[in-house]
Amino acid sequence: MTISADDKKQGWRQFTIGMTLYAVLIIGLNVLSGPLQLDKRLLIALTFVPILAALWAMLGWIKVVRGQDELQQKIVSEGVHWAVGLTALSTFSYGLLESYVNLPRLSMMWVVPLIGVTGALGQAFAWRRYR
Amino acid sequence: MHGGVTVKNRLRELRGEQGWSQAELAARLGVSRQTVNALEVGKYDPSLPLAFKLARLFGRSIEYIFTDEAA
Repeated sequence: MTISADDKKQGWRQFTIGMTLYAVLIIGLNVLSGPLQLDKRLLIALTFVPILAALWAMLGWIKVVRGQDELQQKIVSEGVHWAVGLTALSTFSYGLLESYVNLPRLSMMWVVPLIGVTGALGQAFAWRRYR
Repeated sequence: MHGGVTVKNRLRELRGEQGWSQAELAARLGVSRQTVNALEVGKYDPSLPLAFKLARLFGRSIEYIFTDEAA
């Protein structure tokens, strides 16, 4: 299957809209969940709405990667390896610190931005090797 | 270098003969300009399908375009 430049462009659009929607929904949920005193079951259901937006964004990102050439895919792959490694090491280390040094508990919500940042840094690092 | 093999190529020379810019060659190959640059400076060795594409585009054999330094 060949992915056209249009598919790639559509993938970028899907990713951008999906992540924006995800951020807006997360903020909206945080703001509204307190004052509205929603039923717990409804709140559980609403919590998954931003995740659907993020899932849609993720599918868009996969379209983007499929539309890239082989070197770009290799660089993205290296970036993903950096993201997985660094996120695993940092969350595991912080988990140990929470247990043994009684550092404050952190929300698991921070894992996603951490993956994003380490993935971007990993890709930038990988790009340098091929310049 | 890939697994102890150093691959040299004549891509810059062949592109120069055609009078193409890196961007032009990239468009003909369906890859990014950065990828063409990485190929030319020997930082990246192409897959076999991309090597065949290059060979077809320049009307030369893969062996003419890419050579193993040790050979």
